[in-house]
Amino acid sequence: MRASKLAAAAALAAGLTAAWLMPSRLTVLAALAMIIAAANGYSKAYSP
Amino acid sequence: MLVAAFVVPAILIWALLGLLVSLVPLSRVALAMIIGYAIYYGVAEAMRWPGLRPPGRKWQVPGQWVAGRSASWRILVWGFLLGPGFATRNPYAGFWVLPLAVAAVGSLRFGVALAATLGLLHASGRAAALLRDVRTAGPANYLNSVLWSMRWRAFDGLALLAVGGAAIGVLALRW
Repeated sequence: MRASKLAAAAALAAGLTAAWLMPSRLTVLAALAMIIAAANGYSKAYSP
Repeated sequence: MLVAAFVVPAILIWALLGLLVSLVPLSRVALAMIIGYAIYYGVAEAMRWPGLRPPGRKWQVPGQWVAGRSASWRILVWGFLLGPGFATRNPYAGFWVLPLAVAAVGSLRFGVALAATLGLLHASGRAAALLRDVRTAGPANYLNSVLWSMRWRAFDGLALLAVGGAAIGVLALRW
């Protein structure tokens, strides 16, 4: 549970830091959305 | 054939969605919604809290739509309905942050391009998962699929939290 909390805090901080450091902040959001889109499609169970 | 049946409708439907949401000035509202949605569901998924179920539907492709039809027809129906990702169930909350991310862009050209890319990536992943599951389906893999789902849920939660952090950064530093 402690590891989950640390990972959750690190993920939030990583997103914030990346948006802060990148010249084009929306690029970070778009890149993360792309990762989620690919992972979401691949992770779904076979259920047509 | 399989990949094209999934990818082509997904790109078209997502691009249309990108066009529609980019025509309305929703950028700030979408960013605020991303922060609330991504942090709530991100924490629930990453910490494995029960929480609210992710928004979505349980509808699945009715058997009579594909039963007794050719393989090409079945692939077309499944591709059209599963590729874009809106019609059938979404077990992970991350999916619904994607339209919000498109709305947050606030630019017609970039919004449509991002939406089409998201459709392409989701549909490609879905087609790859279908091919994977056709090869490995079976009752012996049930336990593996449950473990797989738990791991993906945690990953989805962490990705949502990163999106939430990025949205805070965009909202706080842009305006």
